Amino acid sequence: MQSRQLFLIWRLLPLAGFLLVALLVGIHWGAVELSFGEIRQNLWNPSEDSQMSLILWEIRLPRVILAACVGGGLAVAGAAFQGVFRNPLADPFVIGASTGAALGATIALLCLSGSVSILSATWQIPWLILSAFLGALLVVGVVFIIAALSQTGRNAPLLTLILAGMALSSFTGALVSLIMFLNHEMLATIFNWLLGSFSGRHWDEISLVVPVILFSGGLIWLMSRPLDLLSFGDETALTLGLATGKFRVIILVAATMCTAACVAVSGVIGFLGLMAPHMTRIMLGPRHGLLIPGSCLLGAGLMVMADTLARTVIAPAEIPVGIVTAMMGCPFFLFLLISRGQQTK
Amino acid sequence: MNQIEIDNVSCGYSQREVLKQISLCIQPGKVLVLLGPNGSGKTTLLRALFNLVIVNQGKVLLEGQAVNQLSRKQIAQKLALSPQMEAPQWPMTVEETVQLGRSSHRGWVQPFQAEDTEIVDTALQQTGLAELSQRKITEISGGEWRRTLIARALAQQTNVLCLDEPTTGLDLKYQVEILSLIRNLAHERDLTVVLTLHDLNLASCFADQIVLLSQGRIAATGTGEEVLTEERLSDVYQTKVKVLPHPEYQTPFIVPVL
Repeated sequence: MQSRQLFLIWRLLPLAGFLLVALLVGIHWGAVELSFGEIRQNLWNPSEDSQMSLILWEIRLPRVILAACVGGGLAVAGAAFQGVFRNPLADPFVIGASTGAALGATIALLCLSGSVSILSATWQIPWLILSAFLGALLVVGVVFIIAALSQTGRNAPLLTLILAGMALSSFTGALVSLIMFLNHEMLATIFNWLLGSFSGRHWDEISLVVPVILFSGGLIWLMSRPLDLLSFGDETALTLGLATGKFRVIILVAATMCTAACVAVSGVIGFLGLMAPHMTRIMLGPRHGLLIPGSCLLGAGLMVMADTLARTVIAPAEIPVGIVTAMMGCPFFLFLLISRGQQTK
Repeated sequence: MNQIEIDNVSCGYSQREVLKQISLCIQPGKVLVLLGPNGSGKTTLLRALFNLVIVNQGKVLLEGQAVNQLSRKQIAQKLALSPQMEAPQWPMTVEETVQLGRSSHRGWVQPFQAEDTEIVDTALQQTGLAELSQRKITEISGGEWRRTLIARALAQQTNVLCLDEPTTGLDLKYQVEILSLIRNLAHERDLTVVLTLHDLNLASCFADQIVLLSQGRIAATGTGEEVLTEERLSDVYQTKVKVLPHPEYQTPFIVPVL
């Protein structure tokens, strides 16, 4: 058994390698190209006055690290939502966590800023994150209450949760649109933020958000076995000894927290939270003990790649990274689905 | 002490009471078979043991303790259930599925130990799944999936084993093998086994005690000879039957009369 667990860790190595390559490429490419020699030199011996060192430490590194953390966080949250809901279509958007966070953040943007350059003042960031988090928790909480109130049969809660989540997501999305509509001058800011981007983020944002992502992601990883049990359905999980209600709440709160932190710092970046767990499941199998760290590594790597593309394709301008994840991810994901179908035939 | 004591229990679901005033004692080392027509409350009685239904009246005692006072984990260490139906969601392997039967002994974080692997391997062998252990549960046959569920319940290593229609979907070989295995386990390890069956003849061969349910009440309880009589079965199932002696064992052998 010991050796088998060691073997499991080995299976994560290719994904870790992929993340490393993505990080290096992400640091290497940009408006100013940093050679790998320069990266190595400036990484070990940062100097105050070197321009290369400044670009590396103040622009590239924070950006790729944040992209990696958000990508990993969204992927882990996606895996958790899919596991809890026993539904392959679930993702961070499905029960309204993401749109709830968007609403919270939009309100915060509205209240906090007189100026257009919202994210330049770092003191605002904690409020933005907190507001996004509260928004997410509020929407998810309402979804839960509705699901509990409308519960009829013995198998009802999962489906009602998803349906209520979808309904509330639309409602919250409409609220965000309404706020944008009523505040023309904020339209561009909010819209840009909603599309998702990592541009202009610094160490301050990272130090606020990353601990939340790490904590909630780690908590979800610890819940691997409960997630495995939940995949057989509530009743079986109960007879196998899992107090399903309690664990479902823990996992959903952790996944919501993770989503909220990601959305708060980077906006709404779609598709990755749905895609990364599925790709990892094809590669590593469905056991959550391996699926969750695997999804995290893959999601992080993909996000760094997407962000690198987003800021280099039409440089010096940037595409919002959410557009890149959807446009690049979707065809690749469909290709994976088809090729897997061919294999099993 | 009785392994399980059901004391004047009325229970069911929020809209509907299924079982009415059931009293039953279950001794260790015996195979108890629940019989009855569809909807007579067999599965509900099993669910009552696990505190999965709303109990309106009476109480269920597990080794002397009220089952609704126990945590889920404690129940899972005493009782195992192989359910009637279960839809697999993700393509886990057979072995991984059976391994999860060990969860209540290992908690939610601690990795599985060598001991667990041994228990899982034994359970896989007993159910004839050793060679299929690496197959995905989404790609195996209905009978193999049923055996996987039984193996998972065996891996829980509880004193009480509940099986809801364990032979449904199995061919004759496995019907007999699984029931023989269960009876041997009961007699050798003093395991208490409660199972529901639809096949009256299998029940008659394998049961130490039969409980015949009809419309949520116990119509009769006792040995096969005592319970499975022509008038009673014709009455409960509303179908005319003849009871003959089994050619080998002299146990009741039931055939419908058209």
